[in-house]
Amino acid sequence: MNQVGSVGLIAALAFAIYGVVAGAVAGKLRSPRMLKSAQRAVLGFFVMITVAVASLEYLILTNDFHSAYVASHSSIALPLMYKIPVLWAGQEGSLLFWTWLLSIYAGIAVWMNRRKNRQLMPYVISICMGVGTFFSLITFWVANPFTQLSLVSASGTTPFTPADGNGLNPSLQFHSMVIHPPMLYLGYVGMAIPFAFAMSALMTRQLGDNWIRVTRRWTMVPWMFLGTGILLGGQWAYHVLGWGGYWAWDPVENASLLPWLAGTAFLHSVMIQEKRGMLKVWNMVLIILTFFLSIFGTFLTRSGIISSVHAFAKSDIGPWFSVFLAIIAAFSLTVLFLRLDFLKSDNRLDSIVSRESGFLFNNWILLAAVLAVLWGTIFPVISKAVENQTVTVGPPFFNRVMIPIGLLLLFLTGAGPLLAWRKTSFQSIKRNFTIPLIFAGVVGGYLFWAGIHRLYTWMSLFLCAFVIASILGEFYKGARTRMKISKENFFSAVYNLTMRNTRRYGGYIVHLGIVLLFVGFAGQAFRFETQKLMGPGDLLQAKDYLIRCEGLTSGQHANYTYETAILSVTRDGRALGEMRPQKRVYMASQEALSHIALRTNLARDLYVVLAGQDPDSGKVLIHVIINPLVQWVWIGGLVVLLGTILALFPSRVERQMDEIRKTQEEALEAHHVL
Amino acid sequence: MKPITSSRKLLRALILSLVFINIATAAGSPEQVEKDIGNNLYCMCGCVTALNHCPHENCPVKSEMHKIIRTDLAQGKAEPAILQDLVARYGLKVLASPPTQGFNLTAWILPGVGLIIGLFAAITIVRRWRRPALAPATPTAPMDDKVRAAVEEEMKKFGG
Amino acid sequence: MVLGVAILLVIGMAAFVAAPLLAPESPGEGALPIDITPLTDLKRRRMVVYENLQDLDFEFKAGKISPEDYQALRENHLAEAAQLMLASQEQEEVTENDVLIERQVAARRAQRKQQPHDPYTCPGCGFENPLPVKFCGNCGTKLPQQAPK
Repeated sequence: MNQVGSVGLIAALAFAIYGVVAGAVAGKLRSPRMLKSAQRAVLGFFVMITVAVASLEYLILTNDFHSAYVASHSSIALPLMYKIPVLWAGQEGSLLFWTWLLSIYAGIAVWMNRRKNRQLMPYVISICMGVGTFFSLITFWVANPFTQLSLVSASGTTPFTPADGNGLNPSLQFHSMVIHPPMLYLGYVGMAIPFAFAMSALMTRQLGDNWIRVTRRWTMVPWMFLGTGILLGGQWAYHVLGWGGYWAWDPVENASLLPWLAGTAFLHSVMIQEKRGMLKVWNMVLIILTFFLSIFGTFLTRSGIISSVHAFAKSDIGPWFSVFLAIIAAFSLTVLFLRLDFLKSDNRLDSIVSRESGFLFNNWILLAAVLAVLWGTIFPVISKAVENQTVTVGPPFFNRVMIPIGLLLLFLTGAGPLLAWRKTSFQSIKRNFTIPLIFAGVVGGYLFWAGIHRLYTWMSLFLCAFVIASILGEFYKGARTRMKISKENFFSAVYNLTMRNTRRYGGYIVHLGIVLLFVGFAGQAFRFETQKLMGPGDLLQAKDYLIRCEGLTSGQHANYTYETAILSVTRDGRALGEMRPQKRVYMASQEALSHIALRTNLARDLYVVLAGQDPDSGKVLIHVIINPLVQWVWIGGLVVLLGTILALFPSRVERQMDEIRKTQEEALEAHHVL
Repeated sequence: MKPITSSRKLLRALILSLVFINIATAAGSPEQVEKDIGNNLYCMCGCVTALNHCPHENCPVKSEMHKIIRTDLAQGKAEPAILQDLVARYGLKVLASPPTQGFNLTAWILPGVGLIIGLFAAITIVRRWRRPALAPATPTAPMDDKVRAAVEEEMKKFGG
Repeated sequence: MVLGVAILLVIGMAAFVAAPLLAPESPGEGALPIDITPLTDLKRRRMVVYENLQDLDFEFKAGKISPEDYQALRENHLAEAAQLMLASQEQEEVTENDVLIERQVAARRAQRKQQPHDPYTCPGCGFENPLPVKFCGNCGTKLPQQAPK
């Protein structure tokens, strides 16, 4: 099976290289047959990478420890559910997985555009396959997952098959970890498609901005996956790492946040281009930046140049990635520069106080956020190079820098929708802002009275109230207008309103989700922690929770040994039930891992960790964290996801253009038949 | 336009307060101080997490660091002095954020500088984009009736 | 065994990829069709203006825009649409002229040639097909069948 995998990889590499050439030739000669061949090369690339992925998965599932990758990342006792993700648990496998996702994206892009954008497609294929060439090359050449173990001795090398593998890192044996990396990768990889469309539009001197609508949708999908992946990662950290938080500004986390922020900026400013034909160069820059940061994120995650909790192996793929990043930057900026003439604005700004400038300021803040996160993430490397001094840039830095930026952004989230396109007079600003500000003022006053005096927390909740009021106001105003025009009842008015302009109202729903996220973030300010050594019968008071240790048990599982504390929880004298935090020691790696116990509701999480055991008394260290409002982070993420899906529905212009295209198509075909 | 200036002032005050006000940390019991300090330090065992969040049970490095903090606290030292002691022992990388002096100051300054440059860039772009007034934007002659009819017809079709 | 299947699969895929290049040129195959002609682009831009106009109407009815602003912006949008419409009509004339000129050129060329045995020249548009084909490579008109020499 190792050979089959290698054959698949080599063939995929060959198809990718062919695809680059065939696409470029097809674009240059505008030859349909060449395009057809290039399209088939994409299919070939997909099939061959699939062969490689299938053979690696086969090796994993059949416990073939002769394969180095399987031996170091899997073990016999590993449950099936966690054997499948072994595919992306290690360096080599995850690069192969990355390439596979790229082949899927490219295949879907080709298939969806088989009857449209035929001028763009040749170069789109060429660029996608260029990225594919790089990834299949390093998967084959530098980080090959199909190497086999052998023993080198005096008598020569002999094949070697260990009895069992090292096992999967136990902290990765968690349900959201099964889907977190694929989601994140779908986000990273997918950004290659909008980049390819943008570059292709530049290279073919595409008229107008039809392509930008294509690109926008192709950005939203990976953006959605990336956001979901980031949150699932947070959920994993929250449930597995046992310190009661979901975000630690770790370099790998930051690496995933960067393209998300840049993509967010693009998704906003693209609206100005669609509606007003402005900001064309800037949008190009944002697409390029988003793709660049995706590759950069993969690079940070995979090269180990910056130390991170995600203890991925240090490897020699760093220089390869650096060269690839340099090629991307040089290529895209050259193309952009050569085509600047084609990116003239159709319109000008009518007024400084308008939706357009609102978007511009949103871009300003998002880019500042990108800069701050990027700078903080790579600063240790820079400091090492400049001062030969190792410094750490951790949460205190990012919290101080990013919280003000986040609050400004939150303000714009609410203020932007209140501004009308093109021009907003002072009168209408006054009218539109009054109710949300009054509402926020009332909420803010109440919060201050209720004892929230920390500036950032108070401001964040104040702004959340402001944004919620402004967005719900938008829905209300729209629905009322519809009710007046077409005599609908309120609910069907809201429904029709949303469905008629899914992009706007889907976007508002995304904003609501972001507000909920911020509510969850603000809750962190009220976090309460305490810990105590507990034996049977001991009591621990954590705010209004009373925790009593009922007993300790220990035992053995196929994969690990465990120690469990049985705790009963009461709140204000009311029994809430049992909680069983657990400490596991995994046999394959002898690593210890806490399995937390969680009682959750919308107001707060009670988070209990069995942090350790006192060898003398046999008592266990119970760590209790009361984490207010954490659930809102996950709920907010879900709302963002739903809003994004809603906004993906084609708009009216897109639907009509599609009809025009189909009519053209039919006319053309009829013409040929004649 | 009085309201505009006052709202501008308010905005400026808001931004200034955002930039300059730090979260006030209430000094409390020694345990609380130890916890606060633990958030500003990284555990040096290689786990790459804050000292308070080191996932290792019985981590020797973690307990050594805690010992230093506790001795210092017992001697009545304040947070900066304690951090100084730990830097002397482990080097600068023990701090969870770079110090605010020398080259490392750039870590703190650059995001702010970027923010301000970006603001100026955005304002410049908005200014340059802006055309003098709304009306002369489209100096079309009295609209051709035929064209207008065609537009309205097409618009009706679009509305359906 | 599996390795053999994999290699066969590679060969099969390679043949599949190469097939379009080796196949004889199909009738009616020209250059890649243009997706967005100047005319459709103008049409699309007009539709965007209409959409903006509808949004404007809606925002006005929802009370987000003052009446003066609304009137000014509405006129502005209509003027933009009219400009695009005008450009569209000009473009159409240009296209029509182009087609006319092309036809005339083709007809003249066909007249000049007037060779009885030129099986590859299209009687419709005058395009000289480089290969013996059933349909014209330029306009797709069916060519008169003639016995190959």
